[in-house]
Amino acid sequence: MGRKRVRSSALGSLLAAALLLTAGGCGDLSNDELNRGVESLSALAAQGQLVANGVARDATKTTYARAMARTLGEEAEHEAEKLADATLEEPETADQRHAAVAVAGEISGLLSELQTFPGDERHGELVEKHLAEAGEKADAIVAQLSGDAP
Amino acid sequence: MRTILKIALGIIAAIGGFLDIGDLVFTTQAGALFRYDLLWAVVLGVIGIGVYAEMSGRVAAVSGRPVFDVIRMRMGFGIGLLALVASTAVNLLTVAAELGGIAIVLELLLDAPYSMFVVTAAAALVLIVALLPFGGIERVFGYGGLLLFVVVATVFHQDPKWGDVARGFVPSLHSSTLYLYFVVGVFAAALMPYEVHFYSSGAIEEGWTEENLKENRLNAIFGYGVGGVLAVALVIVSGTLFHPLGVEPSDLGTVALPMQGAFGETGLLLALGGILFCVGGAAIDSSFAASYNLAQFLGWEWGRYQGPRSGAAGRGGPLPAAAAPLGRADRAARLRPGDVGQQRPAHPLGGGRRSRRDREAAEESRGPRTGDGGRPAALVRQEAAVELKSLSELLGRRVVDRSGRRLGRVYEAKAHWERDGTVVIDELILDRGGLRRRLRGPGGPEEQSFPWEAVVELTADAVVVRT
Repeated sequence: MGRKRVRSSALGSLLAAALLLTAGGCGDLSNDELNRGVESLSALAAQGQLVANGVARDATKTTYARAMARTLGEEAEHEAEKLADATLEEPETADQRHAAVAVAGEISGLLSELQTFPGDERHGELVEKHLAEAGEKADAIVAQLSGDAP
Repeated sequence: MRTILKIALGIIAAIGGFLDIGDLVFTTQAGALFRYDLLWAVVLGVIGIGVYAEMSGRVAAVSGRPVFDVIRMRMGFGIGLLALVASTAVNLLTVAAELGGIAIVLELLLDAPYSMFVVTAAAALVLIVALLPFGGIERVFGYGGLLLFVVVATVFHQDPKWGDVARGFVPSLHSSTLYLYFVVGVFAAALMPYEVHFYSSGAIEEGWTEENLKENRLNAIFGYGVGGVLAVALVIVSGTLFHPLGVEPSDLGTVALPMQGAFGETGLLLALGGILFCVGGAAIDSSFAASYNLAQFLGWEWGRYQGPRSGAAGRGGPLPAAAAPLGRADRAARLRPGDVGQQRPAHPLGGGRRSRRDREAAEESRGPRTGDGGRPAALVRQEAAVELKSLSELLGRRVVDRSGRRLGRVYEAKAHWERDGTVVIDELILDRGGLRRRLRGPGGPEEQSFPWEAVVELTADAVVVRT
């Protein structure tokens, strides 16, 4: 009888731990995590700029530009979803979170355009320019989150 | 001239197998995150793999045993099994990753569904391994891998601050755990075990002897050295281009971006081509290494040209890798005529481990042939009329006494190596325990042995002993 009770309490503890871990996995987004998420958006924008620069200079292969734009666009979209779904640990950063989601959407849209026109130099030039602006917006959010903004 | 070409080929082959998908992505990430600070770790990794490969090649050339065989032989069954399980797991993961890498490059070049290319890459790998000769595989992937020298050209095109680059070769420690993780990662990416298992098994396949020690050293130093130059160049181009922009390269396509920036479409295509051959070469090396390891652990005869029939099944069971005293007997050894009641022609042993060229030479050296289908003569003092091509043919044979009573099977032979290049069999070890006992190695209550002098007859499927 005693052994049964020990076994069921161990099972209960395990279940509780699993629930806690699961809950923790999709839990609150700390300021640092939000910061890292926005930084990765800035990195994606920079990488997209390099791809777009190749298109603008007619110095790339269209298949490469298309596949890279697709991959980077999917990453930006995923980042946007992650930021939008998470609950903020510090509610006062809600504005930055909204801004970051918008930037992620913008980057994803620009990369989608690059994916559609990987051989068009004019589009490449525009996408490169707009990705640079999106990157600057992401950097500005990072600066706000880390308290470096003027 | 031929020697120079041979050495050059070895170096090229080493380059082809050195840079795999892990090296390519990890070194690029290291440069993007820490600029040139991890260059010393790359150099350390290259020295590590070069030293390990040189040692393994030397052991293979001198002892006739590849490194995995030696591990199994010296460390015993338990540690051998651990090494087999670990290396097989790593090899499987590596092959899967490399196949994925090939598919990514094909997707970037042809823009078709990735999953289709995974299947294509796997099929191409099987076809290449099945159809191309060993030298052909080395040449295709070795020369193809040279396309990656566009990375070195990109370094000079970028013209980084050379003082900063030089400082990167001096070991430095940061407090960040990410940096320490990358130190370990960069070092480990260079020291992939499949490279050494493939290298030392290849030495046996090529029939290396003591005469090839210089070739081995040059291959290890220059082959891995040149591979190291490419890895260093990857860190530099990534540190110069990606680090200031904050790019975090996480996929194989990004590795080619700096070359596109420097040389346009040509640079991009050269980089993607080089990556394709390097990753493909690594996939083939690691799949060969997995097969070699398994065969060597189980004691099967193995080799690129070894068909299934002449392998374990056709030879009456695995050759025990624990046959320590046999040592060199599996390679160009000769049984001494008239030593143990049987006179035999001089037979180089272990045909499955030698190159085609060596096997042809061995055939020529087998001396006079009898009329029984071109088989070499086996002069036996008394009634036995069976010749041995290799000692492993003894293994698994039934052992009976002169009345026909079954005593067990041969699972091991002890022999010694004589100065004149002959192997003298001293003892046969019997065991009724089968494969389980065979793998565990000699010793134990079930073991029974007979001195070779007790052998009175060898028939096609049995050894008759005097009890």
